Amino acid sequence: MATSVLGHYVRFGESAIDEIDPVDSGMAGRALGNLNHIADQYAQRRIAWVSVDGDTLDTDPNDIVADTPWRLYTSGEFDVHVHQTGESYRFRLRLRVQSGDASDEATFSAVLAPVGESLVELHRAGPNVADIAVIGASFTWEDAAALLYLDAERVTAASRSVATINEAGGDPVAGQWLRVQLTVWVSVEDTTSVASLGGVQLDEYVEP
Amino acid sequence: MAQTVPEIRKNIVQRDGAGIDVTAISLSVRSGTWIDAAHTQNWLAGRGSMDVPAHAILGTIAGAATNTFRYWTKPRIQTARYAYSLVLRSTTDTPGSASVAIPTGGSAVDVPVGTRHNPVTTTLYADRASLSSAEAELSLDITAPSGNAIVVESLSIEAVPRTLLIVGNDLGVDRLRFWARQPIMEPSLSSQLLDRQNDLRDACRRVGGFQFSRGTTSPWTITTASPSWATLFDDDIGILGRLLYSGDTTRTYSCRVLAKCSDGTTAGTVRVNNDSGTAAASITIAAGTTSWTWLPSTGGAAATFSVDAEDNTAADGLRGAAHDDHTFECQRTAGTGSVQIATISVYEA
Repeated sequence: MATSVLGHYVRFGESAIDEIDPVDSGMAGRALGNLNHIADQYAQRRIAWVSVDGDTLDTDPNDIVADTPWRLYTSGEFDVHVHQTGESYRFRLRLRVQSGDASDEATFSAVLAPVGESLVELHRAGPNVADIAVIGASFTWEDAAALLYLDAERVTAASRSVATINEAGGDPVAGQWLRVQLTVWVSVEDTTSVASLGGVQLDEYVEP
Repeated sequence: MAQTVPEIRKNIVQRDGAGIDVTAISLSVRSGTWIDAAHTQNWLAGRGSMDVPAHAILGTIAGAATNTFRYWTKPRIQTARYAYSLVLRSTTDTPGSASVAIPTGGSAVDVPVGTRHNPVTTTLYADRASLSSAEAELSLDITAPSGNAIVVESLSIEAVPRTLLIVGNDLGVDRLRFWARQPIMEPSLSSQLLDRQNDLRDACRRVGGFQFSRGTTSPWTITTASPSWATLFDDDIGILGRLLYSGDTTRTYSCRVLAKCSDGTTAGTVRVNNDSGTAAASITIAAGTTSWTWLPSTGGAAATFSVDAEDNTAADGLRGAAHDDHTFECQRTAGTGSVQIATISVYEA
Protein backbone atom coordinates (compact mmCIF):
# COMPACT_ATOMS: atom_id res chain seq x y z
CA MET A 1 0.00 0.00 0.00
CA ALA A 2 1.08 3.56 -0.65
CA THR A 3 2.76 4.90 2.44
CA SER A 4 2.81 8.67 2.10
CA VAL A 5 -0.06 10.47 3.79
CA LEU A 6 -0.07 13.19 1.14
CA GLY A 7 0.58 10.90 -1.84
CA HIS A 8 3.02 13.29 -3.46
CA TYR A 9 6.34 15.06 -2.90
CA VAL A 10 6.36 18.45 -1.22
CA ARG A 11 9.18 20.71 -2.30
CA PHE A 12 11.79 21.72 0.21
CA GLY A 13 13.68 24.95 -0.15
CA GLU A 14 16.79 24.52 -2.26
CA SER A 15 19.01 26.34 0.20
CA ALA A 16 20.38 24.48 3.19
CA ILE A 17 18.80 24.78 6.61
CA ASP A 18 21.09 26.76 8.94
CA GLU A 19 21.79 25.91 12.58
CA ILE A 20 19.57 28.74 13.78
CA ASP A 21 16.66 27.97 11.44
CA PRO A 22 13.63 26.55 13.22
CA VAL A 23 12.44 23.09 12.29
CA ASP A 24 8.71 23.05 12.85
CA SER A 25 6.36 20.12 12.99
CA GLY A 26 5.05 20.88 9.52
CA MET A 27 8.51 20.56 8.05
CA ALA A 28 9.04 17.35 9.95
CA GLY A 29 5.80 15.91 8.67
CA ARG A 30 6.62 16.87 5.09
CA ALA A 31 10.05 15.26 5.37
CA LEU A 32 8.57 11.95 6.48
CA GLY A 33 5.91 12.00 3.81
CA ASN A 34 8.48 12.82 1.17
CA LEU A 35 10.67 9.89 2.12
CA ASN A 36 7.71 7.55 2.01
CA HIS A 37 6.60 8.90 -1.35
CA ILE A 38 10.04 8.77 -2.94
CA ALA A 39 10.35 5.18 -1.74
CA ASP A 40 6.94 4.30 -3.20
CA GLN A 41 7.85 5.90 -6.51
CA TYR A 42 11.26 4.23 -6.58
CA ALA A 43 9.55 1.28 -8.24
CA GLN A 44 11.79 0.26 -11.15
CA ARG A 45 11.02 -0.91 -14.67
CA ARG A 46 12.39 -4.44 -14.69
CA ILE A 47 11.53 -5.71 -18.20
CA ALA A 48 10.64 -3.78 -21.35
CA TRP A 49 10.86 -5.03 -24.92
CA VAL A 50 8.84 -5.40 -28.06
CA SER A 51 9.82 -7.47 -31.07
CA VAL A 52 11.64 -6.22 -34.14
CA ASP A 53 11.21 -7.44 -37.73
CA GLY A 54 8.90 -10.23 -36.60
CA ASP A 55 11.55 -11.86 -34.39
CA THR A 56 9.23 -13.33 -31.78
CA LEU A 57 9.31 -16.29 -29.41
CA ASP A 58 7.15 -19.03 -30.94
CA THR A 59 5.99 -22.49 -30.02
CA ASP A 60 7.44 -25.42 -31.95
CA PRO A 61 4.64 -27.66 -33.26
CA ASN A 62 7.07 -30.58 -33.37
CA ASP A 63 7.94 -30.24 -29.72
CA ILE A 64 4.98 -28.83 -27.80
CA VAL A 65 2.33 -31.10 -26.26
CA ALA A 66 -1.27 -29.92 -26.03
CA ASP A 67 -2.36 -28.46 -22.70
CA THR A 68 1.17 -28.77 -21.30
CA PRO A 69 3.26 -25.75 -20.28
CA TRP A 70 6.03 -25.00 -22.78
CA ARG A 71 8.75 -22.47 -22.01
CA LEU A 72 8.75 -19.44 -24.28
CA TYR A 73 10.88 -16.83 -22.56
CA THR A 74 13.14 -16.36 -19.57
CA SER A 75 14.47 -13.00 -18.50
CA GLY A 76 17.74 -12.35 -16.77
CA GLU A 77 17.76 -11.97 -12.99
CA PHE A 78 16.77 -8.77 -11.28
CA ASP A 79 16.15 -7.35 -7.81
CA VAL A 80 12.74 -6.68 -6.29
CA HIS A 81 11.95 -4.07 -3.68
CA VAL A 82 10.48 -5.29 -0.40
CA HIS A 83 8.03 -3.66 1.97
CA GLN A 84 8.33 -3.66 5.74
CA THR A 85 5.71 -6.43 5.70
CA GLY A 86 8.18 -8.73 4.01
CA GLU A 87 6.20 -8.81 0.78
CA SER A 88 7.64 -7.45 -2.44
CA TYR A 89 6.44 -4.43 -4.32
CA ARG A 90 3.66 -5.27 -6.75
CA PHE A 91 4.33 -5.74 -10.46
CA ARG A 92 2.26 -4.55 -13.36
CA LEU A 93 2.58 -7.11 -16.19
CA ARG A 94 1.78 -6.69 -19.87
CA LEU A 95 2.40 -9.32 -22.55
CA ARG A 96 2.18 -8.98 -26.32
CA VAL A 97 0.82 -12.29 -27.47
CA GLN A 98 -1.15 -14.25 -30.03
CA SER A 99 -2.50 -17.81 -30.09
CA GLY A 100 -1.70 -18.28 -33.78
CA ASP A 101 -5.26 -19.10 -34.77
CA ALA A 102 -8.60 -17.30 -34.88
CA SER A 103 -10.35 -20.03 -32.91
CA ASP A 104 -7.70 -21.85 -30.86
CA GLU A 105 -6.85 -20.62 -27.39
CA ALA A 106 -3.38 -20.25 -25.89
CA THR A 107 -2.77 -19.55 -22.22
CA PHE A 108 0.38 -17.65 -21.35
CA SER A 109 1.58 -18.06 -17.76
CA ALA A 110 4.10 -15.57 -16.42
CA VAL A 111 6.01 -16.69 -13.33
CA LEU A 112 8.17 -14.51 -11.10
CA ALA A 113 10.60 -16.84 -9.32
CA PRO A 114 14.26 -17.50 -8.54
CA VAL A 115 16.35 -19.29 -11.14
CA GLY A 116 15.35 -22.91 -11.58
CA GLU A 117 12.09 -22.62 -9.64
CA SER A 118 9.77 -21.36 -12.35
CA LEU A 119 8.04 -24.63 -13.22
CA VAL A 120 7.42 -25.52 -9.59
CA GLU A 121 6.07 -22.04 -8.92
CA LEU A 122 3.86 -22.30 -12.01
CA HIS A 123 2.12 -25.29 -10.47
CA ARG A 124 1.94 -23.69 -7.00
CA ALA A 125 -0.05 -20.89 -8.66
CA GLY A 126 0.75 -18.28 -6.04
CA PRO A 127 0.52 -14.46 -6.25
CA ASN A 128 3.71 -14.55 -8.33
CA VAL A 129 1.93 -16.22 -11.26
CA ALA A 130 -0.33 -14.59 -13.83
CA ASP A 131 -2.29 -16.33 -16.59
CA ILE A 132 -3.35 -14.56 -19.78
CA ALA A 133 -5.54 -16.48 -22.22
CA VAL A 134 -5.95 -15.27 -25.80
CA ILE A 135 -7.61 -16.39 -28.98
CA GLY A 136 -6.43 -14.71 -32.16
CA ALA A 137 -3.86 -14.77 -34.93
CA SER A 138 -2.80 -11.15 -34.47
CA PHE A 139 -0.63 -9.77 -31.71
CA THR A 140 -2.26 -7.76 -28.96
CA TRP A 141 -0.91 -6.28 -25.75
CA GLU A 142 -2.69 -7.94 -22.83
CA ASP A 143 -2.61 -6.85 -19.19
CA ALA A 144 -2.48 -9.35 -16.36
CA ALA A 145 -5.72 -9.20 -14.39
CA ALA A 146 -3.93 -8.67 -11.08
CA LEU A 147 -0.62 -7.28 -9.91
CA LEU A 148 2.03 -9.94 -9.30
CA TYR A 149 4.14 -10.04 -6.18
CA LEU A 150 6.28 -12.28 -4.01
CA ASP A 151 4.86 -13.06 -0.58
CA ALA A 152 7.17 -13.11 2.42
CA GLU A 153 8.02 -16.79 2.02
CA ARG A 154 8.99 -16.30 -1.62
CA VAL A 155 10.97 -13.17 -0.84
CA THR A 156 13.04 -15.17 1.62
CA ALA A 157 13.58 -17.91 -0.96
CA ALA A 158 14.85 -15.34 -3.46
CA SER A 159 17.51 -13.85 -1.20
CA ARG A 160 21.10 -14.35 -2.35
CA SER A 161 24.48 -13.25 -1.10
CA VAL A 162 26.35 -11.30 -3.77
CA ALA A 163 29.68 -9.52 -3.85
CA THR A 164 29.40 -5.77 -4.08
CA ILE A 165 31.72 -2.82 -3.56
CA ASN A 166 31.07 0.44 -1.73
CA GLU A 167 33.49 2.74 -3.55
CA ALA A 168 35.43 2.86 -6.77
CA GLY A 169 38.25 0.36 -6.47
CA GLY A 170 36.91 -0.86 -3.15
CA ASP A 171 37.29 -4.37 -1.79
CA PRO A 172 34.37 -6.72 -2.43
CA VAL A 173 31.97 -7.19 0.46
CA ALA A 174 29.04 -9.57 0.83
CA GLY A 175 25.61 -8.07 0.45
CA GLN A 176 22.11 -9.53 0.33
CA TRP A 177 20.22 -9.12 -2.91
CA LEU A 178 17.03 -10.61 -4.20
CA ARG A 179 17.37 -12.41 -7.51
CA VAL A 180 14.30 -13.39 -9.47
CA GLN A 181 13.49 -13.76 -13.15
CA LEU A 182 10.32 -13.78 -15.19
CA THR A 183 9.55 -16.92 -17.18
CA VAL A 184 6.68 -17.05 -19.64
CA TRP A 185 5.16 -20.45 -20.33
CA VAL A 186 2.45 -21.19 -22.87
CA SER A 187 -0.16 -23.93 -23.05
CA VAL A 188 -2.06 -24.50 -26.30
CA GLU A 189 -5.21 -26.34 -27.28
CA ASP A 190 -4.01 -27.22 -30.75
CA THR A 191 -0.31 -27.84 -31.21
CA THR A 192 -0.45 -26.97 -34.90
CA SER A 193 -1.30 -23.36 -34.05
CA VAL A 194 1.90 -21.45 -33.39
CA ALA A 195 1.46 -19.30 -30.27
CA SER A 196 3.86 -16.40 -29.93
CA LEU A 197 5.23 -13.87 -27.48
CA GLY A 198 6.30 -10.56 -29.00
CA GLY A 199 6.79 -8.24 -26.04
CA VAL A 200 6.91 -7.95 -22.27
CA GLN A 201 6.51 -5.06 -19.87
CA LEU A 202 7.09 -5.67 -16.15
CA ASP A 203 7.01 -2.64 -13.87
CA GLU A 204 7.17 -2.42 -10.09
CA TYR A 205 4.32 -0.50 -8.49
CA VAL A 206 3.12 0.45 -5.02
CA GLU A 207 -0.64 0.36 -5.20
CA PRO A 208 -2.88 2.81 -3.35
CA MET B 1 29.53 6.36 10.96
CA ALA B 2 26.85 3.78 10.42
CA GLN B 3 25.45 4.57 7.00
CA THR B 4 24.41 1.00 6.36
CA VAL B 5 22.01 0.12 3.58
CA PRO B 6 19.00 -1.94 4.69
CA GLU B 7 17.61 -4.76 2.56
CA ILE B 8 13.99 -3.90 3.31
CA ARG B 9 12.45 -0.43 3.28
CA LYS B 10 10.56 1.02 6.19
CA ASN B 11 7.07 2.42 5.92
CA ILE B 12 7.60 5.46 8.13
CA VAL B 13 4.67 5.85 10.51
CA GLN B 14 3.08 9.21 9.91
CA ARG B 15 -0.20 8.67 11.75
CA ASP B 16 -0.58 6.89 15.07
CA GLY B 17 -3.35 4.42 15.81
CA ALA B 18 -5.78 7.27 16.45
CA GLY B 19 -4.96 8.87 13.13
CA ILE B 20 -2.98 11.72 14.67
CA ASP B 21 0.09 13.07 12.91
CA VAL B 22 3.08 11.83 14.89
CA THR B 23 4.84 15.16 14.28
CA ALA B 24 1.92 17.27 15.52
CA ILE B 25 2.59 20.14 17.87
CA SER B 26 2.50 19.14 21.57
CA LEU B 27 3.38 15.53 20.88
CA SER B 28 6.69 14.09 21.89
CA VAL B 29 8.95 13.34 19.00
CA ARG B 30 9.37 9.60 18.83
CA SER B 31 12.94 8.55 18.31
CA GLY B 32 11.57 5.74 16.21
CA THR B 33 10.22 8.28 13.75
CA TRP B 34 13.64 9.61 12.88
CA ILE B 35 15.35 6.23 13.09
CA ASP B 36 12.85 4.97 10.50
CA ALA B 37 13.43 8.06 8.39
CA ALA B 38 17.18 7.45 8.44
CA HIS B 39 16.60 3.78 7.60
CA THR B 40 14.41 4.68 4.62
CA GLN B 41 16.83 7.28 3.33
CA ASN B 42 19.70 4.79 3.37
CA TRP B 43 17.53 2.21 1.60
CA LEU B 44 16.75 4.77 -1.08
CA ALA B 45 20.33 5.92 -1.40
CA GLY B 46 21.97 2.52 -1.60
CA ARG B 47 19.51 0.00 -3.00
CA GLY B 48 20.53 -0.02 -6.67
CA SER B 49 18.64 0.67 -9.87
CA MET B 50 17.62 -0.97 -13.16
CA ASP B 51 19.63 1.04 -15.64
CA VAL B 52 18.89 -1.20 -18.64
CA PRO B 53 15.66 -3.14 -18.16
CA ALA B 54 15.74 -6.72 -19.38
CA HIS B 55 14.96 -6.98 -23.08
CA ALA B 56 14.91 -9.78 -25.65
CA ILE B 57 17.07 -8.83 -28.61
CA LEU B 58 16.43 -12.10 -30.50
CA GLY B 59 18.37 -11.25 -33.65
CA THR B 60 20.79 -14.07 -34.47
CA ILE B 61 24.52 -13.78 -33.83
CA ALA B 62 26.12 -16.17 -36.31
CA GLY B 63 28.66 -18.72 -35.15
CA ALA B 64 31.98 -17.07 -34.24
CA ALA B 65 30.55 -13.63 -35.03
CA THR B 66 30.58 -10.72 -32.59
CA ASN B 67 27.90 -8.15 -31.95
CA THR B 68 28.46 -5.05 -29.82
CA PHE B 69 25.65 -3.70 -27.67
CA ARG B 70 25.89 -0.11 -26.42
CA TYR B 71 23.49 1.78 -24.16
CA TRP B 72 23.35 5.34 -22.89
CA THR B 73 22.17 6.09 -19.38
CA LYS B 74 22.22 8.56 -16.53
CA PRO B 75 23.51 6.48 -13.62
CA ARG B 76 22.98 7.12 -9.95
CA ILE B 77 26.02 8.55 -8.21
CA GLN B 78 25.92 5.73 -5.66
CA THR B 79 26.45 3.07 -8.34
CA ALA B 80 29.83 1.42 -7.87
CA ARG B 81 29.23 -1.96 -9.52
CA TYR B 82 27.00 -3.10 -12.35
CA ALA B 83 25.51 -6.56 -12.85
CA TYR B 84 25.07 -7.62 -16.48
CA SER B 85 22.49 -10.41 -16.60
CA LEU B 86 22.39 -12.52 -19.76
CA VAL B 87 20.34 -15.38 -21.14
CA LEU B 88 21.99 -16.71 -24.31
CA ARG B 89 20.34 -19.51 -26.27
CA SER B 90 21.53 -21.64 -29.16
CA THR B 91 19.40 -21.45 -32.30
CA THR B 92 20.02 -25.17 -32.86
CA ASP B 93 19.58 -26.24 -29.27
CA THR B 94 23.29 -27.00 -28.99
CA PRO B 95 24.77 -26.15 -25.57
CA GLY B 96 28.00 -24.25 -25.76
CA SER B 97 30.01 -21.31 -24.52
CA ALA B 98 29.93 -17.77 -25.83
CA SER B 99 32.45 -15.05 -25.11
CA VAL B 100 31.44 -11.76 -23.46
CA ALA B 101 33.60 -8.68 -22.97
CA ILE B 102 32.59 -5.76 -20.74
CA PRO B 103 32.99 -3.00 -21.86
CA THR B 104 33.32 -3.40 -25.61
CA GLY B 105 36.91 -4.31 -26.42
CA GLY B 106 37.63 -5.39 -22.86
CA SER B 107 38.79 -8.74 -21.53
CA ALA B 108 36.43 -11.56 -22.48
CA VAL B 109 35.00 -14.28 -20.28
CA ASP B 110 33.12 -17.43 -21.20
CA VAL B 111 29.36 -17.45 -20.74
CA PRO B 112 27.28 -20.62 -21.10
CA VAL B 113 24.81 -20.91 -23.96
CA GLY B 114 21.59 -22.70 -23.09
CA THR B 115 18.87 -24.44 -25.06
CA ARG B 116 15.13 -24.05 -25.52
CA HIS B 117 14.30 -26.25 -22.56
CA ASN B 118 17.34 -25.41 -20.47
CA PRO B 119 17.94 -21.66 -20.47
CA VAL B 120 21.04 -20.58 -18.60
CA THR B 121 21.16 -17.26 -16.76
CA THR B 122 24.55 -15.70 -16.21
CA THR B 123 25.47 -12.58 -14.27
CA LEU B 124 28.74 -10.74 -14.88
CA TYR B 125 29.94 -7.85 -12.72
CA ALA B 126 31.70 -4.71 -13.91
CA ASP B 127 32.95 -1.94 -11.64
CA ARG B 128 32.89 1.78 -12.36
CA ALA B 129 36.15 3.66 -12.38
CA SER B 130 34.56 6.51 -10.41
CA LEU B 131 31.24 7.30 -8.79
CA SER B 132 29.39 9.88 -10.83
CA SER B 133 25.89 10.75 -11.99
CA ALA B 134 27.21 12.04 -15.31
CA GLU B 135 25.58 10.40 -18.31
CA ALA B 136 27.67 7.58 -19.66
CA GLU B 137 27.72 4.58 -21.96
CA LEU B 138 27.41 0.94 -20.93
CA SER B 139 28.60 -1.60 -23.48
CA LEU B 140 29.50 -5.22 -24.10
CA ASP B 141 30.60 -7.54 -26.89
CA ILE B 142 28.99 -10.94 -27.34
CA THR B 143 30.77 -13.49 -29.52
CA ALA B 144 28.91 -16.66 -30.48
CA PRO B 145 30.63 -20.04 -30.27
CA SER B 146 32.13 -21.31 -33.48
CA GLY B 147 29.56 -23.18 -35.54
CA ASN B 148 26.77 -22.36 -33.07
CA ALA B 149 24.56 -19.36 -33.78
CA ILE B 150 22.89 -17.82 -30.74
CA VAL B 151 20.16 -15.39 -29.80
CA VAL B 152 20.17 -13.03 -26.84
CA GLU B 153 16.97 -13.98 -25.07
CA SER B 154 17.59 -11.44 -22.34
CA LEU B 155 20.08 -8.72 -21.53
CA SER B 156 19.84 -6.30 -18.60
CA ILE B 157 22.19 -4.05 -16.67
CA GLU B 158 21.48 -3.32 -13.02
CA ALA B 159 23.27 -1.28 -10.39
CA VAL B 160 24.25 -3.61 -7.56
CA PRO B 161 23.12 -2.42 -4.09
CA ARG B 162 25.68 -1.03 -1.71
CA THR B 163 26.06 -2.24 1.86
CA LEU B 164 27.55 0.99 3.20
CA LEU B 165 27.25 4.60 2.15
CA ILE B 166 30.54 6.30 2.78
CA VAL B 167 30.98 9.69 1.19
CA GLY B 168 28.85 12.79 1.68
CA ASN B 169 27.21 12.84 -1.68
CA ASP B 170 26.06 9.24 -1.32
CA LEU B 171 23.06 10.84 0.46
CA GLY B 172 23.39 8.44 3.35
CA VAL B 173 22.46 9.03 7.00
CA ASP B 174 24.27 7.87 10.13
CA ARG B 175 21.42 5.94 11.71
CA LEU B 176 23.13 5.76 15.10
CA ARG B 177 22.74 9.52 15.46
CA PHE B 178 18.99 9.02 15.90
CA TRP B 179 19.06 6.25 18.45
CA ALA B 180 16.87 6.34 21.52
CA ARG B 181 18.02 8.30 24.59
CA GLN B 182 20.44 10.54 22.81
CA PRO B 183 19.82 14.06 21.57
CA ILE B 184 19.23 14.54 17.86
CA MET B 185 21.83 17.10 16.88
CA GLU B 186 21.33 19.71 14.19
CA PRO B 187 23.97 18.24 11.84
CA SER B 188 22.13 14.95 11.90
CA LEU B 189 18.60 16.20 11.40
CA SER B 190 19.13 19.17 9.13
CA SER B 191 22.31 18.31 7.27
CA GLN B 192 21.77 14.59 6.76
CA LEU B 193 18.00 14.38 6.43
CA LEU B 194 16.19 17.61 5.70
CA ASP B 195 18.80 19.21 3.44
CA ARG B 196 18.98 16.09 1.29
CA GLN B 197 15.31 15.78 0.46
CA ASN B 198 15.57 17.40 -2.96
CA ASP B 199 18.77 15.54 -3.78
CA LEU B 200 17.06 12.26 -3.00
CA ARG B 201 14.11 13.24 -5.15
CA ASP B 202 16.49 13.80 -8.06
CA ALA B 203 18.63 10.72 -7.44
CA CYS B 204 15.93 8.13 -6.93
CA ARG B 205 14.80 7.94 -10.51
CA ARG B 206 13.34 5.10 -12.53
CA VAL B 207 16.65 5.05 -14.34
CA GLY B 208 15.79 2.74 -17.23
CA GLY B 209 12.75 3.82 -19.23
CA PHE B 210 13.21 1.82 -22.44
CA GLN B 211 16.54 0.51 -23.62
CA PHE B 212 16.91 -1.60 -26.77
CA SER B 213 20.04 -2.38 -28.74
CA ARG B 214 20.20 -4.46 -31.91
CA GLY B 215 23.96 -4.23 -31.78
CA THR B 216 26.31 -2.46 -34.14
CA THR B 217 26.54 -5.44 -36.52
CA SER B 218 22.78 -5.90 -36.89
CA PRO B 219 21.30 -2.41 -36.73
CA TRP B 220 18.06 -1.16 -38.14
CA THR B 221 18.88 -0.19 -41.74
CA ILE B 222 16.40 2.35 -43.02
CA THR B 223 15.98 3.54 -46.60
CA THR B 224 12.43 4.83 -46.22
CA ALA B 225 12.53 8.34 -47.58
CA SER B 226 10.80 11.42 -46.26
CA PRO B 227 7.87 12.09 -45.96
CA SER B 228 7.28 8.40 -45.16
CA TRP B 229 8.38 6.85 -41.89
CA ALA B 230 9.55 3.35 -41.03
CA THR B 231 8.56 2.01 -37.64
CA LEU B 232 11.47 0.47 -35.76
CA PHE B 233 9.49 -1.99 -33.67
CA ASP B 234 6.59 -4.32 -34.48
CA ASP B 235 4.39 -2.44 -32.01
CA ASP B 236 4.32 0.42 -29.53
CA ILE B 237 5.84 0.28 -26.06
CA GLY B 238 4.31 1.78 -22.94
CA ILE B 239 6.33 4.06 -20.67
CA LEU B 240 5.10 5.38 -17.31
CA GLY B 241 7.07 7.83 -15.20
CA ARG B 242 7.14 8.74 -11.53
CA LEU B 243 4.49 10.88 -9.95
CA LEU B 244 6.28 13.54 -7.92
CA TYR B 245 4.22 16.66 -7.23
CA SER B 246 0.53 17.12 -6.60
CA GLY B 247 -1.20 17.63 -9.92
CA ASP B 248 1.57 16.04 -11.98
CA THR B 249 0.30 14.27 -15.07
CA THR B 250 3.56 13.82 -16.99
CA ARG B 251 7.23 13.17 -16.40
CA THR B 252 10.15 14.08 -18.67
CA TYR B 253 12.33 11.37 -20.16
CA SER B 254 15.57 11.71 -22.08
CA CYS B 255 16.32 9.94 -25.34
CA ARG B 256 19.46 9.32 -27.36
CA VAL B 257 20.11 6.97 -30.28
CA LEU B 258 23.29 5.32 -31.53
CA ALA B 259 23.24 5.94 -35.25
CA LYS B 260 25.19 6.46 -38.44
CA CYS B 261 24.61 6.77 -42.16
CA SER B 262 26.03 4.63 -44.94
CA ASP B 263 27.67 7.52 -46.76
CA GLY B 264 28.52 11.18 -46.36
CA THR B 265 25.48 12.57 -48.15
CA THR B 266 22.76 10.54 -46.47
CA ALA B 267 20.93 11.97 -43.46
CA GLY B 268 17.96 10.93 -41.38
CA THR B 269 15.67 11.55 -38.46
CA VAL B 270 14.46 9.37 -35.59
CA ARG B 271 11.29 10.40 -33.83
CA VAL B 272 9.17 9.26 -30.92
CA ASN B 273 5.41 9.52 -31.17
CA ASN B 274 3.08 9.12 -28.26
CA ASP B 275 -0.49 7.81 -28.15
CA SER B 276 -1.99 10.99 -29.47
CA GLY B 277 0.19 10.86 -32.57
CA THR B 278 2.02 13.99 -31.53
CA ALA B 279 5.72 13.91 -32.33
CA ALA B 280 7.17 13.84 -28.87
CA ALA B 281 10.87 14.06 -29.73
CA SER B 282 12.89 14.23 -32.89
CA ILE B 283 16.60 13.43 -33.31
CA THR B 284 18.55 14.46 -36.39
CA ILE B 285 21.23 12.25 -37.92
CA ALA B 286 23.18 14.74 -39.97
CA ALA B 287 24.89 14.01 -43.26
CA GLY B 288 28.47 13.11 -42.57
CA THR B 289 27.64 10.92 -39.57
CA THR B 290 29.39 7.87 -40.97
CA SER B 291 30.64 6.32 -37.74
CA TRP B 292 28.58 5.21 -34.75
CA THR B 293 27.59 8.33 -32.87
CA TRP B 294 25.30 9.03 -29.93
CA LEU B 295 22.75 11.62 -30.93
CA PRO B 296 21.92 14.20 -29.82
CA SER B 297 25.59 14.71 -29.20
CA THR B 298 26.72 13.68 -25.73
CA GLY B 299 28.41 17.06 -25.48
CA GLY B 300 24.96 18.56 -25.08
CA ALA B 301 21.50 17.83 -23.81
CA ALA B 302 19.52 14.76 -24.76
CA ALA B 303 16.26 14.93 -26.66
CA THR B 304 13.37 14.91 -24.23
CA PHE B 305 9.74 13.97 -24.33
CA SER B 306 6.89 13.62 -21.90
CA VAL B 307 5.39 10.38 -20.70
CA ASP B 308 2.39 9.91 -18.47
CA ALA B 309 3.11 10.13 -14.76
CA GLU B 310 1.84 7.21 -12.76
CA ASP B 311 -1.57 7.65 -11.14
CA ASN B 312 -0.94 6.40 -7.63
CA THR B 313 -4.66 6.45 -6.87
CA ALA B 314 -5.36 3.84 -9.54
CA ALA B 315 -5.24 0.14 -8.73
CA ASP B 316 -2.83 -0.46 -11.59
CA GLY B 317 -1.15 2.93 -11.67
CA LEU B 318 -2.19 3.68 -15.25
CA ARG B 319 -3.20 7.25 -15.92
CA GLY B 320 -6.61 7.41 -17.53
CA ALA B 321 -6.80 3.60 -17.33
CA ALA B 322 -4.56 3.34 -20.38
CA HIS B 323 -0.92 2.69 -21.15
CA ASP B 324 1.03 5.61 -22.56
CA ASP B 325 2.23 3.87 -25.71
CA HIS B 326 5.05 5.27 -27.78
CA THR B 327 6.12 4.59 -31.37
CA PHE B 328 9.72 4.86 -32.56
CA GLU B 329 10.20 5.72 -36.23
CA CYS B 330 12.97 6.67 -38.63
CA GLN B 331 13.19 8.23 -42.09
CA ARG B 332 15.90 9.16 -44.55
CA THR B 333 15.86 12.88 -45.15
CA ALA B 334 18.70 13.26 -47.65
CA GLY B 335 20.84 11.18 -49.98
CA THR B 336 20.30 7.70 -51.36
CA GLY B 337 22.05 5.52 -48.83
CA SER B 338 20.75 4.05 -45.57
CA VAL B 339 20.30 5.31 -42.05
CA GLN B 340 21.42 2.80 -39.43
CA ILE B 341 20.22 2.73 -35.82
CA ALA B 342 21.94 0.40 -33.35
CA THR B 343 20.36 1.51 -30.06
CA ILE B 344 17.40 3.40 -28.65
CA SER B 345 18.07 4.65 -25.11
CA VAL B 346 15.29 6.22 -23.06
CA TYR B 347 15.96 7.11 -19.42
CA GLU B 348 14.46 9.38 -16.78
CA ALA B 349 15.83 12.87 -17.10
